Amino acid sequence: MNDPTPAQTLPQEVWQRPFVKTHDTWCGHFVLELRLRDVPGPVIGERLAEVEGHCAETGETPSEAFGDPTDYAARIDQDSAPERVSGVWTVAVVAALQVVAMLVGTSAVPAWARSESLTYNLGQVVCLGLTLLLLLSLPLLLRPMMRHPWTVGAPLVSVVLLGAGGAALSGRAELPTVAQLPAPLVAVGLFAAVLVLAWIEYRELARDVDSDLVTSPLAVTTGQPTATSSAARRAALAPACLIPAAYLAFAAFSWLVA
Amino acid sequence: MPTDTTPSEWLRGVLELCVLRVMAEGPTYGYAIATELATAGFGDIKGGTLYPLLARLEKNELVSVEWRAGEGGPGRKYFTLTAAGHTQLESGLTQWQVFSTRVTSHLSPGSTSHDLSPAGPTTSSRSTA
Repeated sequence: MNDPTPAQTLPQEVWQRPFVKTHDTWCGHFVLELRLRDVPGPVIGERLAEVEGHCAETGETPSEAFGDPTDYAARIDQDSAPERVSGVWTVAVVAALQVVAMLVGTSAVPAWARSESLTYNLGQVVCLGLTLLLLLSLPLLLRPMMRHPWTVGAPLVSVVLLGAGGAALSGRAELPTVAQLPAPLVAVGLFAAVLVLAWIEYRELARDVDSDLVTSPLAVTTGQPTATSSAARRAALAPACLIPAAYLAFAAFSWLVA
Repeated sequence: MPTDTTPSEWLRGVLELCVLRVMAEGPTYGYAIATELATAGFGDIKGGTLYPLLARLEKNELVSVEWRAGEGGPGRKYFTLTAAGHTQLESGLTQWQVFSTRVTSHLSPGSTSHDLSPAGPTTSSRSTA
């Protein structure tokens, strides 16, 4: 056997590799399945490099050599069992709290505009509680949602909207009041809480940006860009800013129509 | 029916041992292992079968790995047997010898179950009534 020299191992995101661009559907499903299993980015890159190296030698396509990408990802993950990255649940809890804080906080704005207290009856509290539970369970539902966006994702979104709508409609029902709160304090206080949660979410999403990119251990071809974390940091900022921006928009609309 | 192909369910049980045996010759990579197994008559071992097995060997620290530049390709992941891997191979070979002898003996015309005990011929405990 020959004595090969060590490969150049400059980090390069797998998406820049010609092989991945050629077989983007197969590679996309493979990476998605491993991401949903919380496999670290560099480990995913190494698994994809094995596929690329093998296909380059045999002349086969990934489908011919490795079969269905989702099934293969599940099999290789089961047999290698790498260390997991664990930010999914933190982000899910923070995002769920943000949504519920926005629903409650913006519902306080019309009462504030009319100089009334914010009251909650039993029906509203139950609907908000159910919405919060559903949002917290999203990490468990993420995989079926991504695989079947219309059959699983769409009904789930409908249920969340029904919960929020149910909370609003329950306000008109003749149910016993369980909470009476000063509306300005709730609206401003929960907006401050949403900002704090948004900061926590951004910190969590951007924490491992540098070490969790899906990079390839294969040699970089001349002219191909290497991995950069600036785009990933910008991508982490967008979901964190979403709820505070929506909060302000809904609050302004509620104030105007109150 | 061809007789020179190995039923996949038989191969599944001994593939790991066969791969360890290939690695005993020195550092090697996935495609070379598949080629050597095909040359040995085990048929076309697909990447989807081979690489999860290699990942399991890596997880169990039976092999060490190293990425090296490929010859005309993007790169190769080389696998080298560790001390634990060599021990596993020797143990597996011993077990296989015992097992294959037992199976061969059992399948031979005229053999009986009491010939198959590792301790030699014994009285069968199965009722003959």
